Amino acid sequence: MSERVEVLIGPGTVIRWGRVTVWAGPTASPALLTFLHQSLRNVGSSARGGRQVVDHIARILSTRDPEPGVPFAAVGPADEEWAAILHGPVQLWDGTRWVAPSPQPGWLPASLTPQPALCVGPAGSAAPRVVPNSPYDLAAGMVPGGGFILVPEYAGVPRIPLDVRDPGGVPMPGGAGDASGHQDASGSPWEPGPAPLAAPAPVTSPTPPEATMPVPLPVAAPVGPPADLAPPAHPEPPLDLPTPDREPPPDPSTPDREPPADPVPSAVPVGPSLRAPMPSRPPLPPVGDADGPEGAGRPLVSGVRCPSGHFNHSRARRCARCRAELGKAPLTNGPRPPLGVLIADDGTVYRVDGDLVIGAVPAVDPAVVAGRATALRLDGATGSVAPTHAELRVSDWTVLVTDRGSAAGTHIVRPDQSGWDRLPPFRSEPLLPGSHLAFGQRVVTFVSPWPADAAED
Amino acid sequence: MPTRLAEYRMVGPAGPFGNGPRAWLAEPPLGASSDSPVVIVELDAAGGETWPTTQALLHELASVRSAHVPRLLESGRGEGNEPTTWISRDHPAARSLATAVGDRRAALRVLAGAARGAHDLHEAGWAHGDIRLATVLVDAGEGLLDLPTRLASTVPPAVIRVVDPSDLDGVDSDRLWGAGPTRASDVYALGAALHRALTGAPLHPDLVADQPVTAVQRVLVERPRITPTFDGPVAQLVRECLDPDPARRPPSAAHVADRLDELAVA
Repeated sequence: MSERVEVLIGPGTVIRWGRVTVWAGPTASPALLTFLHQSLRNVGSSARGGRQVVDHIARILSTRDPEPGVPFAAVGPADEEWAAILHGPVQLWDGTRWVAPSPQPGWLPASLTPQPALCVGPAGSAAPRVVPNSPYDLAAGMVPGGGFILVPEYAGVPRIPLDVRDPGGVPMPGGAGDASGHQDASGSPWEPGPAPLAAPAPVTSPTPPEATMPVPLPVAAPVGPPADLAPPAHPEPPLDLPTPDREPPPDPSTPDREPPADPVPSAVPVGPSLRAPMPSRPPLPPVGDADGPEGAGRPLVSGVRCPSGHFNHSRARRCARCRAELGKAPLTNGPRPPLGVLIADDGTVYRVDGDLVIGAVPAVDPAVVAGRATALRLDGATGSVAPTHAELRVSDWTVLVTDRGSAAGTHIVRPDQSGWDRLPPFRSEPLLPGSHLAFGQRVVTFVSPWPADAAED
Repeated sequence: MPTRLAEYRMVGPAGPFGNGPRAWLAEPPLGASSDSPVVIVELDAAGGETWPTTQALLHELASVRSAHVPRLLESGRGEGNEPTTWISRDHPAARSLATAVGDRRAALRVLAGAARGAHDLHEAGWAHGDIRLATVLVDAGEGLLDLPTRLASTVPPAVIRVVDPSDLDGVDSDRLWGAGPTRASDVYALGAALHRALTGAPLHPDLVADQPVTAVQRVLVERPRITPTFDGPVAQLVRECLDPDPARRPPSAAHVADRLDELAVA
């Protein structure tokens, strides 16, 4: 059992050894290409060679990134799934979703299940299409290429066209509509047209790469200046692990989509991915569930419960949900409810139930990237809202606001004041309910169901 | 109106189905499994960083099967710095209850269908979060609940975007205080839609259109006001749906649907 690796025409380099495949962009240095090539030669034949390569590269990158911003991606098997690492402006489509480092340049390890195929290329590319019996089928080695499509093949399963679409962007080099090389079936003079799906040709599998793989080599010293780009030295022996589960082949009875007669002007559909089987969600909790569906997973804080079981701040007099008198309910721990909302000047209401990074481009903030904070994007007049203008941090029942050193500053009107004060940069201040905040020219108002003194805990 | 979107050829506007999304009727691509037109709905713009999440959500939503919810067929995203996300769905002939004309009995029957759609979504693990007359569809006299189109909100913590104060009618206080949509909040929204359909009046009639911040602040502390002349068993159902304590609302959207069906034939 193996895979087809269809090389897409375009700038860059595609490397394949065994079942591990790499694409590197045209800006990759010879040292990086040598490192990747050597790494794949060493571990590509391993049943979990993808995992070994990904882990090794991740270890290097977590210490220092020798070539930041250079696009490359490695994909290979890892036990019962596939492992990938994406670096720089590169993207991967696994049949259901895009995977890409965010923000770019950055790097991202990922676990995948190609369904039905997987494509890798430079960020912003799109719309590759698997061409039946493509001649650009790399069995092993290093060749020029602008990306690749990895198509699982199954013993005894005929090769049929797979409509691999992505959700947007411009055509990937070699993709549908690209006249430079790997052409769409409808556009190539060499392609006899869409194959009859009901009677596909028998499989003509390429020689399994494993059979031609060199014996894993002990690692030589890394070539080139980046001394920390060392390939994995001792590949793990191939493990006797079950072959990764694969998606069943597409239903041959499904009519093939012909490409549009006119160029697609603005978008491409996701297509078959929406019809792929998905594990179903569990039903929602019943009406009246005291902590709501979001109770699980919230941080536990000290508070009191009303007779109906709703969790409240210990100094609240009435239940925020059912308005029942709280009296002297005993203190207990419970999942922290949302601490309030920010009402923006455009009428958008944002919940405050965790750390927020506020700005024009908050998604680039490391805390957002790491998943420790949520991005709250505020668009303002040009330059008035900084990319990461301010942050709200939540601690127990308290919300703290901090200006991030923005040029326009973060201004506040506290509940007991009438004028604007500029917050000192990088100094946190408790945010009381009723406060107004100005980020550049955008104004938000913080309101909360909890008593004002609760915010001063 | 664009003339083409991906492999779809636009043939005319559809809807309106709500305040935000734009919708068009479109011919399906060549080779599609059906020749029937589809509805293309543009979702709230999704930033690039949220597209994988949006796509995963749409993928899950497409697996929901209900006779009272349109089927999500395909989705895609445009190009550029602010790409739009769109979906295609079936039921091209449907109109929203906000624009469809019908008598009281027909409205009850349509809302019963929408409530069953909400229940099917709940059982599939989804809360709709945006039930209002504009998202209740009427197709050949039967009611459906349109697909939720705010799942692709650009900003993850956004609760609601108030374009018109009446947008706040179907949002219960739990949601407005930041909680996510639930069965109970959808039941509340069904009650609000029922009130609006039968009385034509909003639950917060004094809100000023161009003061969204004030509107939100008032709705946070003011109880909804049921029209005084609205009485009888339907009004009683509305009151139960709008109960401030979620635990005292009808236990499921299916219960609301059953009650509405009974009232429609009474």
